[in-house]
Amino acid sequence: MSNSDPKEKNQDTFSRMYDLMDPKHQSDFKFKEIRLKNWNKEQPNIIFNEEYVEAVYRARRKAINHQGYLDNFNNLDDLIHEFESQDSNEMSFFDHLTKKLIEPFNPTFQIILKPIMLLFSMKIGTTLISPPKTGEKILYLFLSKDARKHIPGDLEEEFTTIILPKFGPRYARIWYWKQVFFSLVPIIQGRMVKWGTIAWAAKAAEWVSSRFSS
Amino acid sequence: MGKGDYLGEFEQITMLALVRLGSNAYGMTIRRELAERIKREVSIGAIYTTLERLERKGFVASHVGEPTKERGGRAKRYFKILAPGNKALDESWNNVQRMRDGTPLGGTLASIVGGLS
Repeated sequence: MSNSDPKEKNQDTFSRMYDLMDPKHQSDFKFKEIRLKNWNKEQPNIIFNEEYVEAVYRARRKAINHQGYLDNFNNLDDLIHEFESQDSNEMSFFDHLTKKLIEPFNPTFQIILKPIMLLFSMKIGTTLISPPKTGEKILYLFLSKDARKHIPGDLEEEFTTIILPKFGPRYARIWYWKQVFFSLVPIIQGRMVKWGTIAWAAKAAEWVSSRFSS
Repeated sequence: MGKGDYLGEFEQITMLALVRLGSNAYGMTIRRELAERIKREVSIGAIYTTLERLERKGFVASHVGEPTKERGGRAKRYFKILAPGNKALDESWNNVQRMRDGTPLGGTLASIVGGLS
């Protein structure tokens, strides 16, 4: 590998891992790459996210099968080797990594540290990858029962597979809000036309009945 | 052709997107097709409003597909163009063509001018 910068090296390794994956797993994996980028920049704790760690593990495991293809990736190979040589299969790779990371601390501090890390990982998981929940709720308020099944799904799919990997989480969230507001205009218009027609028909029926009753 | 059978410009474009996408025509792919091919950013709400109107007219049909993980477990709604829709689309184009013929924008006058020069 020609890259001397370890961050670039990680990115390159990650891209190659992505290439090795089945296409059906690639979209799922793609947005995890964003986390790696963020982690490289400023958030070292991003690696504690369980989903991310498991995805890296699965991809890395797959990559290892293509022997001699990849260089060392943050000592993950050693960790994977250690993890797989354990007798017990009950522990996830995330648990193993967490255990390794808190090992240097004294046992009392480890008890406090583990739930903090887990909480932090959950927070990262929900804030980075999902579309804004409030935006989704606003859509639900105005959509018909049938459309609720499809429109938020289309937005979420585009958010996850196209916008998020291409532009990052911040832009992706702005994009989602923009879609929500611009979608509401034709939806409300459609509803107003529908209710307007019903109101007009009711008025006409009232007029007809008053003519015939008198 | 009845009054309700005429297609607006956006309806025509949406139906053409359905033709282009074939069996993979659902909300997101239609939106992407319009954005990439004609550089027109349309909201998903506008696309569904149009498709539902076309479905009421009997020009398109829809069926619910499989839910996927990247859609938060929600199902896709696939759309396809029906024979009356095809006919209406064809008719709309023919109308435009008939109006274009003999005008400076149309092929006939342009070919005459081209032949004279």
